[in-house]
Amino acid sequence: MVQIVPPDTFSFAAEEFLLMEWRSTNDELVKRSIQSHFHWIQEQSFPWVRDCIPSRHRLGIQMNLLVFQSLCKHTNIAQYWEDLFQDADIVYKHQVSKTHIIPVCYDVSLAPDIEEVARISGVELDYIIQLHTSVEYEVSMMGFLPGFAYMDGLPAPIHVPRLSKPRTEVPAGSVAIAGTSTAIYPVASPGGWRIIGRTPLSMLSDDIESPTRFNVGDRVRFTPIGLREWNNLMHE
Amino acid sequence: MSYVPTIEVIKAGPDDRIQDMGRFGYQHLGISPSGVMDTYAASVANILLNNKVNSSIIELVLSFAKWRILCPTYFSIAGAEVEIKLNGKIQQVGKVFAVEKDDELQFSSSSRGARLYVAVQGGWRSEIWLGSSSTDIWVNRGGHQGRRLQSGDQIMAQTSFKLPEGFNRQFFRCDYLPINGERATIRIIKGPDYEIWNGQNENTQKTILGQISTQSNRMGYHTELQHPFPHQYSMLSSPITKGAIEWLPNGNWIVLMSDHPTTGGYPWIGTVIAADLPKLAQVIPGSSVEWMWVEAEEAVQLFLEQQRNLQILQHAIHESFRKNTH
Repeated sequence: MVQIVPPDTFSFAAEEFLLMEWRSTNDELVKRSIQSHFHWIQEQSFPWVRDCIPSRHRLGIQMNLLVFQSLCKHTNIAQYWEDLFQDADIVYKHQVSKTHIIPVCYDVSLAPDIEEVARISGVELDYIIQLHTSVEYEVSMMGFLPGFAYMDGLPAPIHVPRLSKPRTEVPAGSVAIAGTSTAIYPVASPGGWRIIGRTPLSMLSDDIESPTRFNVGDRVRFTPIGLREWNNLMHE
Repeated sequence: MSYVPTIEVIKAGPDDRIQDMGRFGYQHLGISPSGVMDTYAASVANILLNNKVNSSIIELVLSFAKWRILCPTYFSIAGAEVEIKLNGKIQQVGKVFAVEKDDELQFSSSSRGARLYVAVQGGWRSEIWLGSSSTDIWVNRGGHQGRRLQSGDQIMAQTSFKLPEGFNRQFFRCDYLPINGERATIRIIKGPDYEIWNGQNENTQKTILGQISTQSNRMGYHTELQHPFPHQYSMLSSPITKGAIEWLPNGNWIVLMSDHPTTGGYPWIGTVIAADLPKLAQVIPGSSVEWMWVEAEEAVQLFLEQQRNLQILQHAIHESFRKNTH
């Protein structure tokens, strides 16, 4: 059986928000544990849970305190969750994850930072594209903006810091890198990641079951397209 | 249910939007809850009309909006002490009133508070996105065409409502509104990263003075502290909520409000108590604020007390509505 561990701390972060933290340095163990707890909580459909939000080392639970108190008759929220996990016997379940193939145009006209990334990293432009499209990334968390996925697994030669001064507007669809991650800006917004390309695909949909293209645990591969193809796809 | 155009916006304020209590259930996908800033005043406005608390409502912020009424109905307005004139005649905040076709409703300056809520019987017609009518201007969804109200907009509401004869048009004043231009006190509790803050600021004061910057908006209130302590802690991004106080590297704070991102990357050192979030939502940018540490147990009691008050009001109005409906 694949091992998972309960959170190390439970903190009362707000009257209606509990934050759990895993402190192990074993990243794989922490990831498995958070995802297992996240899926377990979602499956339970507790009427007092409004949101359950995973990240790389913490899991947040947005609660409805009135519903919780009237149904659970419990005053110490942190203790309640700790006991709940102890009794629940949460086990690791393999989650079937989606794999996405995302077309990206790396043309300099859509990639304002790619030349600077080449300069900082010492990696040639063509090789940046080759590296960025060479691996399968994993969505480790969602956040910052609706549908913004933090994808882990960026090859080490192109690890670069964020811009020292964020841009006031990054166009929707911009594919960017920062540190060990890559991401796609789902909507136009300010942003400090370095833009190395653009995808014509939309990251949001009106489907109430899955309003965003990505979800935590999904796998993503990028495939390079030319400027003409990008244009055609944009106008489809 | 049939809807008819009910108001026409002659003049819009800087940030008038349709909201409800928020879009919960999608934060794991990065979708912010949005929703009204002052949940208490918005609840009061809806309750006074015997609406559901979550009915869609128009939030006005420091607005000098002017509306023309297109269809007779009832409004109830709660929140900031704004001067409101219906056809030139002063109208009280915190009460239900009737409006007739071609009436003109004019909002002007406020002596207490920044945000005003206008409820209509049955709620305003709005675009529902992911179960909520709150306006999300990041993705242009929800509310009225996913954007702020503009002049020329016609907003619809349900027709053929009648308030029963003898219905109690209760007056209800929000008692926490800050006096504009004076310092407001906001209570806070320790956050998950409090120890980082405490380690840096050993002479932990009971209160901290700061000023809400004019760059503040529905995402967050930037607070310039009287004695900012810069830091260099770098954190992994993690889940966050409304009221969370993030400690910025330059030493100042940002307090997350309704349109907050779902994750944050700065130390979360404290949280505004839920019972004071309505008050903070009413503080005008530029005002000075005294942040006062309190214990978590007290925060929970204050929040529950506030919720009970709303339930009592709701019960009373509901009873009056029921008794007078034949």
